[in-house]
Amino acid sequence: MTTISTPSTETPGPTRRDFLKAGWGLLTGVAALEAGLASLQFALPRVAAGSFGGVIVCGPAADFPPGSVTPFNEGRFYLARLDDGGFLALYRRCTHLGCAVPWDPTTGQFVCPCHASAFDSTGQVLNQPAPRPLDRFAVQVIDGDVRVDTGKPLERDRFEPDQLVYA
Amino acid sequence: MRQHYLIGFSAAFILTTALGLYMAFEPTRQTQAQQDLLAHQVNEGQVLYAEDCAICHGASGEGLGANPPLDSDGLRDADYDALYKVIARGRYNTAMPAWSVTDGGPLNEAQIEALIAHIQHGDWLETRAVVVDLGFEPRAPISVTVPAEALDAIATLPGGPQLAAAVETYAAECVACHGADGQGTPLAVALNTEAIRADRGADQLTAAITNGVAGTVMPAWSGTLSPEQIQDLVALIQRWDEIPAGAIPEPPDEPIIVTEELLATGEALYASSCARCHGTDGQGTRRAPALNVQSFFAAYSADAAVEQVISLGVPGTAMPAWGERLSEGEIEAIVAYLRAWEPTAPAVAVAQTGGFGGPPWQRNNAAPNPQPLAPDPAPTAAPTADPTGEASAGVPAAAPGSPSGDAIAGGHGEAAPADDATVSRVDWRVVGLIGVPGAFALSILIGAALALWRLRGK
Amino acid sequence: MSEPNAAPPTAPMWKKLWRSAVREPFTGDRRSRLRLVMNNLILHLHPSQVPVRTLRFTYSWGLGGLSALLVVMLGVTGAMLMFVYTPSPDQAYPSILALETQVWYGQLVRNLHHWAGNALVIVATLHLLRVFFTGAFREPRAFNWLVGVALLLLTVAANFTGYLLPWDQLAYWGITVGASIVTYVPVVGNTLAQVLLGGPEIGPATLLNFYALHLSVIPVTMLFLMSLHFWRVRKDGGLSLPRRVDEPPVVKDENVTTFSDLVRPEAVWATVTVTTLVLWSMLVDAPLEPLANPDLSPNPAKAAWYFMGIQELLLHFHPLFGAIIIPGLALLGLTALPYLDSDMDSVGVYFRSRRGRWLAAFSAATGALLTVGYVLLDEFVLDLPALLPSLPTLVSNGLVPLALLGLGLFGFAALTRRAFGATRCEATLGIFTLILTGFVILTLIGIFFRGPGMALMWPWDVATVGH
Repeated sequence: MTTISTPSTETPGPTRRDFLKAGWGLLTGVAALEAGLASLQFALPRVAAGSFGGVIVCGPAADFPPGSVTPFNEGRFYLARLDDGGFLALYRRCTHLGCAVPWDPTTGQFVCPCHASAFDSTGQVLNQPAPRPLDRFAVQVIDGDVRVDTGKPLERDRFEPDQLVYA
Repeated sequence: MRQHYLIGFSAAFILTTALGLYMAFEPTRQTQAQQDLLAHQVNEGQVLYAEDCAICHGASGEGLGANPPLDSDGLRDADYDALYKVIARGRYNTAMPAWSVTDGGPLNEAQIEALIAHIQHGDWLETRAVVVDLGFEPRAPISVTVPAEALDAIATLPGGPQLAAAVETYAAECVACHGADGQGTPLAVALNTEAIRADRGADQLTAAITNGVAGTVMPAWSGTLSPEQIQDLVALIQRWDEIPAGAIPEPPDEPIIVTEELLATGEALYASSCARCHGTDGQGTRRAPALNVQSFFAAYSADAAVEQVISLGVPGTAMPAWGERLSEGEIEAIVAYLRAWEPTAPAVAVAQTGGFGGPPWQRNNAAPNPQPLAPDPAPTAAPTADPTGEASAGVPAAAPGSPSGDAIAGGHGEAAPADDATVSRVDWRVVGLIGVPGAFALSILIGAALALWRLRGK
Repeated sequence: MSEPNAAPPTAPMWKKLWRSAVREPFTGDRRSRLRLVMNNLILHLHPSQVPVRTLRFTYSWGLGGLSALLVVMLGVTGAMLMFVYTPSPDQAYPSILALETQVWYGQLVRNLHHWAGNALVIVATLHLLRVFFTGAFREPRAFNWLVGVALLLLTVAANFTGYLLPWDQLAYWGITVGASIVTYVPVVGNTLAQVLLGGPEIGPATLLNFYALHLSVIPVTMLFLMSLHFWRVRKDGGLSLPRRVDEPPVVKDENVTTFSDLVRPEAVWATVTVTTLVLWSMLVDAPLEPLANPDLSPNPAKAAWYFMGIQELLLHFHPLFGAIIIPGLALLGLTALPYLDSDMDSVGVYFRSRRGRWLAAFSAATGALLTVGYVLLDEFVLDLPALLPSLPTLVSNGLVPLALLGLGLFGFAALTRRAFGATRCEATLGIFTLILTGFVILTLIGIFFRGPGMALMWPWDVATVGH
């Protein structure tokens, strides 16, 4: 049985055995890295087949009068139609820490029950601690029907008129 | 070992390369797996459709009578959940029954999903081919024309014109399932009985005809027949005893052309598929009634009726729906074989008991079962038509015996008895499987015994 | 008596961290190699030096270590599967489908878990056989033999509980059959089965029960027993020393350092095993049949492959004998082996002696031929209840054949002692081999030669007709 050579009898320069040994170690390391990467990918969330995360058809545009804010619980958003007729889909998740923010018609504001953040009908912040306006979803009006894509929340620093969609 | 490093290196190298390649191909594999799963579900859906749905919705989903078509873009794009609910729970006030096990039907969730996959992704032309191949093509409604003399005779009865009109309608629409004399067929109940006249009121009969009967083959006729026609039919059923027998001619029976070949095929199929329940000579066993008996041939005088029973099975008994495993041709062959018994069928059959082998305490007679494993067994029982080789869904268990598993109950029988026509050939597979290891074991036995004998003093 | 390895206060932080984790620097000389093993948590499962003979691959075949490696692989892949699998009858099967079609490397992880699980049953059994045939179960290792048998049973239990989890036809009916075997335990059988199944039949409770058993109870118990097993190996003096048939017992042998003369081959074979398993798992998928359908029993309904021997026994004996008494006696015999009278000093010799080798071959051949013969006889000719109609089947098909079997075994043992002059040890080895071969043959018949109706047929016919 071979034992590890002591320095005094070591042949000068790397031998084939050293190469194989090093290579074995290196390759095992690479294999471990591959396995690690595979495990990470394994853990990725799967695309959930469900209504939230997909496109929600809200209905004919005419159903939503200007100045209205209509909740869509399935899609977790509010469809706001501003006075000029522009549509805005606001994700109801509070941008502070994630609570569901209800719309209060009497005050015309979104008021978060958890830590009292407040937003106006375009989602802009009226009261802290929310750090940014409510996120929005992409809105499309196709054949007169309003469709909202809840797959991707869109963050913004402030409300811009070009975020509105008209019928 | 000097080779340790080399082996370790090589193994690690192979592992790294293989993993790397596999990871690169994983997206392709996933897509392929998803497509395979969908294709598989569509196939399963096709078979289920053939067994359960074609009879009402048509062989290629074109709809049948009042039953709606399913081959539409509307359904292909329909909301999955809505479609699921219709199939699972049925539709109120229509003939569409609830199919889900949770609602009393025969299909589990996976099967309903397969049906939906089939509706939304399947090729209906392919489905038609599957339906026909499995023998489930719904019979085109057979109509017959009533001879004018018979109609005139009926018209002379009190309230005759209504009855005559009803008889004409009946002959055109109802004969196929309810029989020419209202005597019923394996598909539908008899309508000419005292019981129906006594127990069913006009309202019930009207409702049954208008809306169909959920859970049966009876469709809703409201779309095809006018309310007056339905009322005429109700009157007919209530006064069937007044109609002279034979007024409505029997629908023509498509005869099966019997050849030597067909009989041979039928005999082989009977031996492998039917004998173990119905007896080797059709004399019946405790599991299934006799077929080789006069009363059977009297009840099933039409070949079509026998074909129907074999194809669709008998719900509530152990008789499965063979239509999904045997083709129409094969079923015809079996029917031809059965018919061959008719001339010599006894009046009373003596059921066959036991004698099929299996664990000793399951056999209940002393007759030994001396059939050794045939070298080349005849085509053995029920080759599954399903290419994926699964047990098909929705078919009552073919195996007699306790449901807790054939293993414990033992079950019966070895493979089908060898076809007499088979010439004894050497089956090289048997030689290889038994001969080689057997010879090996024997030589070891002898060699070891010899060596042990020589060692015995030491 | 370790030397303090603390870095001086002026050393950089990384050096301090390293030195606090690694107690001693490694210098490569013999003493350092010994101390490395002692100071390392994983490595110190081994002694710091081992007798050079025990390194011989063809002695132990690394089966014990292989089993441990497979357990680790099962644990890792099992943990990964836990993130995807849902133990509810409605969601179990869809979660497996999702695992195979939507989760990255899901199919690979599932395959690895499945094949490693099956491999473990085989490897653990081979390990048991190796220990038996080298006589390494004698004192002081007798207790560890018992622990090992317990581990084997737990492995089978782990396989059994895991089998149900996919909730497909194979799972549902395989477990139905397997659990039905339990009902044949006298007096408590039905209760036992009901406890196991969480009810009279397989249902949601069963799935949860099996899930809990498979994920926590069995692994934790196995971990404990494995620790005991490894510890006892060390306490009992490590591996038994292999020797040739005519060598006298070795008292003292040259030692080599574990690092790296033992660790290196271990690492090599671990790499080879992992590579083989991964390659196999990439190429062969774990089976998955259609969703479990309680209304449709497949024909035939077979238990998992490692139970097919018992299922085959059930076709030939009354259920109480086939399912409980005979396997029970076999298990009893297995546990009693180390405590049986031992008249040879043959630890470390494969098959005890030259005669032992031939006897093993002779017994194996006899066992194979007799078992096949008995199966055919019983299937086609013999009908004991008919021959002895006055007796209940419990006796005519249970006690009687068992008595005959017992007589046969005694006769065989007597034959080997008289005709071949075998010692008691060798005769025991012969009987063991006979029974072992018989059981293997029964398992093979059960798996490959039984088709619909559990009828005996050629394997190529089973493939076309069976489920």
